[in-house]
Amino acid sequence: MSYDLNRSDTICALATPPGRSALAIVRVSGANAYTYRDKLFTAHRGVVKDYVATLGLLSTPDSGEHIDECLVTSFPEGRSYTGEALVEFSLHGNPNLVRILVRDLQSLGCRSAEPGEFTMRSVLTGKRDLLKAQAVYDLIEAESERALKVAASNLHGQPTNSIARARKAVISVLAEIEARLDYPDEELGDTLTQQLREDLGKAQEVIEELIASAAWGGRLMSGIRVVLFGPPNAGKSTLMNALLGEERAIVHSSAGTTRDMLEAKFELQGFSITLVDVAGVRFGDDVHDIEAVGVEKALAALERADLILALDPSDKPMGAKHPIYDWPNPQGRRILKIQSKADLVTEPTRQLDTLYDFKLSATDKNSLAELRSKMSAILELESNSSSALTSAHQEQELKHTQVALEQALQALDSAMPLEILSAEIRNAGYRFDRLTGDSLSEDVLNQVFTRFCLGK
Amino acid sequence: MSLGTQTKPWDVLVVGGGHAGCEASLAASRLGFKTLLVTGSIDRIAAMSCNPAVGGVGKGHIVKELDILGGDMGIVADATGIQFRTLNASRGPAVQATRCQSDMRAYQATMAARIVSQENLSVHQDDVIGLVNAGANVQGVQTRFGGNIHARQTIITTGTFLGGKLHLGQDKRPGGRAGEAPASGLSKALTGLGLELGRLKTGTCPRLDGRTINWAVLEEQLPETPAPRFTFESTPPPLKQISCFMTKTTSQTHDVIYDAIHSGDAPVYNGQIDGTGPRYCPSIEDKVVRFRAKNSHLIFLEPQGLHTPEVYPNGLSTSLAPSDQIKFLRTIPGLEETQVTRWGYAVEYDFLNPTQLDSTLKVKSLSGLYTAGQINGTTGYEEAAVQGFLAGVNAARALQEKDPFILTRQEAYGGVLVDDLVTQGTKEPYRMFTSRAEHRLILREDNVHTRLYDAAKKIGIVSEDRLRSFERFEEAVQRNLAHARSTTLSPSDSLNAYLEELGEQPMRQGATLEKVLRRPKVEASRLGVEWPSAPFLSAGDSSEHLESKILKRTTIEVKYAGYIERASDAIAREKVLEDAVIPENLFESQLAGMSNEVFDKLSTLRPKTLGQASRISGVTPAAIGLLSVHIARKQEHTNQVNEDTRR
Repeated sequence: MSYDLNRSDTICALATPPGRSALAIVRVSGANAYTYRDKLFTAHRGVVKDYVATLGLLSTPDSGEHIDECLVTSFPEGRSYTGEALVEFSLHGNPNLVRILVRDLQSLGCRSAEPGEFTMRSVLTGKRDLLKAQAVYDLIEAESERALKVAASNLHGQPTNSIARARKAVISVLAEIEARLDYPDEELGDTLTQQLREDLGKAQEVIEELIASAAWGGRLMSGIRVVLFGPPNAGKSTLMNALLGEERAIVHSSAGTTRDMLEAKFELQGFSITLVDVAGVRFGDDVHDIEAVGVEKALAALERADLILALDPSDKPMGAKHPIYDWPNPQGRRILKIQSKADLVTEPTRQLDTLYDFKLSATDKNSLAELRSKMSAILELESNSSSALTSAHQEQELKHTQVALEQALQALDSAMPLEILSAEIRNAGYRFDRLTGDSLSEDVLNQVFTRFCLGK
Repeated sequence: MSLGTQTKPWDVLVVGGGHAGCEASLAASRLGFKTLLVTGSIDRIAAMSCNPAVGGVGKGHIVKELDILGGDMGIVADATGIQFRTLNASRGPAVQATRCQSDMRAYQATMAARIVSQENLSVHQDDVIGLVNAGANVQGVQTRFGGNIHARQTIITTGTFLGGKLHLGQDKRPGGRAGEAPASGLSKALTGLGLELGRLKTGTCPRLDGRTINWAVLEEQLPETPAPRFTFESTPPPLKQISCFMTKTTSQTHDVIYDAIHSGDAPVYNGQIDGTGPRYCPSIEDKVVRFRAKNSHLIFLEPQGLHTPEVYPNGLSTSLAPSDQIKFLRTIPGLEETQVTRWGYAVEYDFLNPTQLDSTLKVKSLSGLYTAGQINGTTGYEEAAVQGFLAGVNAARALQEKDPFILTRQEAYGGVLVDDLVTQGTKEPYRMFTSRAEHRLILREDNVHTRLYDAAKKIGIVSEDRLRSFERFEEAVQRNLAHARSTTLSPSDSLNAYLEELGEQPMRQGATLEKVLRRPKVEASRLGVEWPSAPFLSAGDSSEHLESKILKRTTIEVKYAGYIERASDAIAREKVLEDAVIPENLFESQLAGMSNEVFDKLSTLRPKTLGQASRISGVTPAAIGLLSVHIARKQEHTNQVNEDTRR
């Protein structure tokens, strides 16, 4: 999708969900918003004031036929969500009324907005930076309380501020460098490097923290992935059903029933969790072909997991031969080793106790509640920062910034001349700008805004 | 073509014989056009009104660029320099810059000789008091004594003479330079044609009698050997090379200056001067007031020539009353008994806001009129010279009906200068700094002949032979680079001794020449290697200086390869914006979606490319996005119209 960067026309869209409801709000933004309003709306008291909800009659421009009695709120240019003149029509929530109003607006020259176009305009008019625009999106899309909190913190400008501080620290060194380069005869001293190393280091910390938070923030938005892993018949599906509280997975006592992956979402202490049940993994020779495929998928799921619940059934324990020990865990994922079917535990398996973090009996409510609180405690530890960047695009830009800062430090460490350091720092500044949208390009805009839903 | 009773107009008429006027008239006449240089005083052509020096950081770069393009400042500076140095020698290659002390008389005489002997170029002494124009078409100038002189193209390079006013203590009088009358009438003619003028000020130092300075107590600054040169050919300096000396102001100096300011004797502080002065070449009274914490400022005592005792105390620009000047001078070590030969003074003058010019330095709203040099709000001989050259070339190209010649920011400091002037304008005298160039790593002195090769060829002043030697030089560098990549150096005692001398780890096993050269302090000339450039040089170009330049360049290309490459990538990225030409008529009517403020800016400044538009302050990235949409639409529309006409 390509956006209309020139904001040349006035756009409109339904801002509330479609369908019958108590109210329906149609937003109109752009240079002609007030003109269109005045052609369609007559206030009972004659005047329409800015910022004040005004009651009046909505009518079709040609026939003058009344459509609805509605409330209109007008926001002047510069003081609205989009930064343009903006009018909100609050109608009775009938889809036919909405259709008529949108049709009338279009007949006047108004265009239906593309997804996210209102927020994009707010960026184009300088009303908010890209980070905050992303936060608006997150705030609307957030699927859990945690995600909401992060989005709110982002909208409030927490990452914007820490990025701005890091950028400023780095950029401020430039003046010092330039003075030395352009005034060779002034005795300015050469004691810059220590300060510079510190400033670059600080900026790096900020960026690294944001990168770490971005991975987490993405998960907060899309769901934290908890993978159930263990040999066939370890009780993975039973646990999944128990956590979801519904019969989502097929539970069957013959090994290898779950041949494909099952995913389901549930909320745990405000975290949105995607629970993944994978095929039972067997590394023996008696694996059927279809199961071999399943095994591969299971391993891929482990790579993407935020938390792994490794199940070992107490009726047929694998102990130290459990396949989780064969997995190298390259990214250091959190693993919770669970002895499942604890109700079936027999005396000989007690020797294995030290191997497990938790003993679970999925049919016991208390045991299950204990597991839930154990899981949320782990997630709580992971989410120690209140704000987090949430999109893959932001994460990528952060990584570019990190590379630029790394290159600047490298130049510093290899005693490169000041003008080369300066160039490296400028490059880092350019990367910072891309992050906040201070230097916008269409590709950045498109990446951010194609994900918006209509009317926001 | 004659004066007074002429019937046929001159091709190009240059008003003013300063550093801009000289380059402008030489360039235009060398491109084959009958050119007339009108000056208030033929004896003062190419005068160095301020310091007796050429070059410096950013400025040396400009002189070298001018030399490659076919300008004369470098040739004359090389012929008349009495001390050459490389500034920032301990820094990286991009900010190393050549500077020389000049014998002022010799400089002036040498440049004047080149002017008066130049084919197609005539010189005439008169005061220019107005313009001849038919509407927006400028057709020459009015002179005080000789009536109107007609010309097809006119270039105004009046420096500080336009409405010039000199300040010395509480004394103020009209003047363009000490002892010379200002240009009057011309300001009125320019405003009469709708141009906007502003007011700037600059100042100069008192000059001292060197025989009254106690040199023995001062620190000496020796000339560098071998002398670095401005010209590509780099022949050894013909004049005797001498030293400069350094001293410092003292707290007593600062006290005297404070007292003078408080007694109302400082024109800068008593409200007598309205013009804005330069932040970066401030008067000593400015420095004392603004940097209160600093109780001493460095002063360079620079000889004004080999055959004069006059000394220029660089760093002591002032417009205090003469009695205060002598008082503070005598508080400075070495100057306790000094005699002043000329008083320092400030000059206030009219300048033309350069956003009224296009990138060829032509006045946008008029035809046949260019302005160059200090009149455009710049300061410095070098900044003036390159503008004069570009205006001269473009006036000639306009007559040839050729496309304009525009230096870009990506290829030259001259390009940065003009682009800054015409897109940003200036509120204070504009001086070049390397930090103004975003592509500083590319705009170096060592590669000037390659980065401006195409430009020099396009202009057509530089001879084929000279172009060929630029090529040969670069071929030698490239051969060296290939050699560095393909040759393996094995450790040897002499090599390791050299490395240890530099504080580098000795070599234990063989490594490519390139790898060894990448070590921070290692230089190509010291590795005991037979470079392929050597036989090239012995075949005719035997200058030792050239060889050391080739090796220096080889060293730079190897050492900073990664950074230079990345800087070049950045230029390539920008090229998209720079290549996006904005149609002339785009701003004829309001552009949908654009704020009035931005539109007003763009329609007044009329940038030629998206790149230029993006550098105008207040033009947001969003506005650039919008502009590109409009350009695309206009293009589509034009294509449509063309298609329709074909049908």
